[in-house]
Amino acid sequence: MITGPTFTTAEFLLRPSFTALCLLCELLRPVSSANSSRSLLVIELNLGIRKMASTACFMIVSRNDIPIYEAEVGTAPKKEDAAHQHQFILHAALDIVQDLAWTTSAMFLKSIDRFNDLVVSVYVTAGHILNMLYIHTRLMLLHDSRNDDGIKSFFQEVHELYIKILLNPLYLPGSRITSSHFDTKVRALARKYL
Amino acid sequence: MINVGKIKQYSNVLERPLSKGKQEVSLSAFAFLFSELVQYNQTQVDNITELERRLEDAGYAVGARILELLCHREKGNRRETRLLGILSFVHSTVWKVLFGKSKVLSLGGVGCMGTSRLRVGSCNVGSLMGKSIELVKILQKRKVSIALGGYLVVEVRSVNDRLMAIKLVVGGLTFNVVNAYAPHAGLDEEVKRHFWEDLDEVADSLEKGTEHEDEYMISEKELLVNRFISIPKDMGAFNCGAFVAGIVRGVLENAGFPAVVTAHFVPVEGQHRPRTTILIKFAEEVLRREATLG
Amino acid sequence: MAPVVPRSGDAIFANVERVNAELFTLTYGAIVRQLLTDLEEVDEVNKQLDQMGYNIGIRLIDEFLAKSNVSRCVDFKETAEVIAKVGLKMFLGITATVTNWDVEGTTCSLILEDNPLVDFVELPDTCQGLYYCNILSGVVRGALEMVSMKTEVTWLRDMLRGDDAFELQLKLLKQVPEEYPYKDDE
Repeated sequence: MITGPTFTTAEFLLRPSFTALCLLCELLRPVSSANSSRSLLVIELNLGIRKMASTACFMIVSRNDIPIYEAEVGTAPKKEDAAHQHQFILHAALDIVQDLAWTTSAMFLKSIDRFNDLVVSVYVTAGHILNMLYIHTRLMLLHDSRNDDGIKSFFQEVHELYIKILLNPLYLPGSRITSSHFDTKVRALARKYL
Repeated sequence: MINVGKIKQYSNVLERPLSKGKQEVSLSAFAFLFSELVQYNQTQVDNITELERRLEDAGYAVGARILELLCHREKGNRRETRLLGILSFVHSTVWKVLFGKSKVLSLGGVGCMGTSRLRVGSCNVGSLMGKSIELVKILQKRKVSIALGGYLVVEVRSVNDRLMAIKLVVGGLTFNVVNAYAPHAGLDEEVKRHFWEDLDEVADSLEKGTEHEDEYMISEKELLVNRFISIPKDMGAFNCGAFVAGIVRGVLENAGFPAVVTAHFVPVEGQHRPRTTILIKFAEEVLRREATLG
Repeated sequence: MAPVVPRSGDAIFANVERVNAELFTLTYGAIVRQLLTDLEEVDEVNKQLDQMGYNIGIRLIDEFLAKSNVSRCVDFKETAEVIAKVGLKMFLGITATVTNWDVEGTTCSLILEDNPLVDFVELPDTCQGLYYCNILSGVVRGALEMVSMKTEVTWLRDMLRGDDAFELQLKLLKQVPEEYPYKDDE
């Protein structure tokens, strides 16, 4: 999780690549112990990424950049470390969203960040915010497909679900979404659109 | 047991479609409920400030939800990213849905950044009723094109068909421009007298005009929540409008425009009941961001 | 003297000033939320909601009588019908069906056909014992008490608690005859 320290502009610009580097190391570690050839490593790396990209990672981010809901959606079996890496990439993209969100009134911001085959698309709802002190809600998705329309529809429908959750006076805005119905519905939408 | 209920059974709330916002309840049902809210909170506090804070909190919870709902339903999922946009959203969309009418907003100015040149122009806007935002937008657009980097927002007050006051802030100086359309000779004495009286009033009010350029006001002759509440003498300046102020703050803050929002009574001469003014004071960061967005 | 009891509150509702139901729903939600925070115990919240409803009921009856032109109800049976068809309509824009009468004609159920209090409410695990709409039972109890009917009003079914309807049971405990029909000073 990347929270806490503030970064200067230079650092900020470097961060995505820094993140990428970290991820690279993560991926290389298990492979390098088995292989000595560098070219082989690269192939393995691509394979690795493709494997984990077959599942999309979806996240709703709220107050203080805390995820209030996340789901690994898709067909591939869950892989603990892949999920971890997905979240890593999504968190790195948060910074980009913060600036971008103020330059457009659109909610759907497609492909705001990428890492090799993986693309981060974001949907910023009306209740988003720049300042980390306040509640904001952003739906984030890490995916490998170019299916923009599907992704947009997915976001819009999840947005509607989120509004219904929010309208419940007994749900505290910014708290974790624990409803199992919500989870089921999001996964069903993912199957339909992604 | 017989089942005659017409409520459609949904396996859970997420299946239920979002409402179109057309459903209504009687005003008195709301009035009764609201007065219980006030009375209950009175039992929980020992001073007016605390009571207003609690009402504001209750309003905030409404505002935070209404923002997300209305942006989705009324604005086709467009977010507001600019100060005037979100203010317009509050006083038109939110006001209309919640209170059944939109509201003319009087605008405070925003301080000007850096050096600027002043351009004075005159434009014919016909009736200004409900158009102050549009006018400000036009003015702002023109100014931005000249005063590179810096910009002006102005206070616009339309007093009546003949009188209008504009406040400009240029490089730290405040300019008050009063535009008057004097009655021609053929009109009644009565009309003329009114005109001069109004003009006097404008001149007076300008002097006590706000010096805080980050403040905006929504003024309401009779705020819904104040209509059915009479305040006992011992409660002083207590204003139930704190609840509405809370709604406004909930909308603004959640949309990324943190502000301090308060409700005040403003006495109106010759009238028994005072007006309520919702005063919005934006946080510095909001104004700073506005400046960088240009 | 034939009682002139309106069979429906539609006309009255159409003529009163109205507000958006979402404002009402969300405001009520904010109240429940405050009570849960302040009182912590769900039972206490139920009690407080009922009390608030009662306070409303004893004040609301005046407006009801004035606007509805209901002069008198023959019996409890008619009273229940008037609440279901006129009272609820006039204030909340909804109606209910009266059913499940017992043989003595002192207990019946109102089954709500809509409920503007509960839009999108879902009880979290921590509030399972909450009677979210308890304010409504308080209102009915308070209003009836002002027309000399002591009643016990309870929720038999609550959709928020997984039931298939909102069913409010009215049980007439005591009727004070000399104060009936309504007097001017009520």
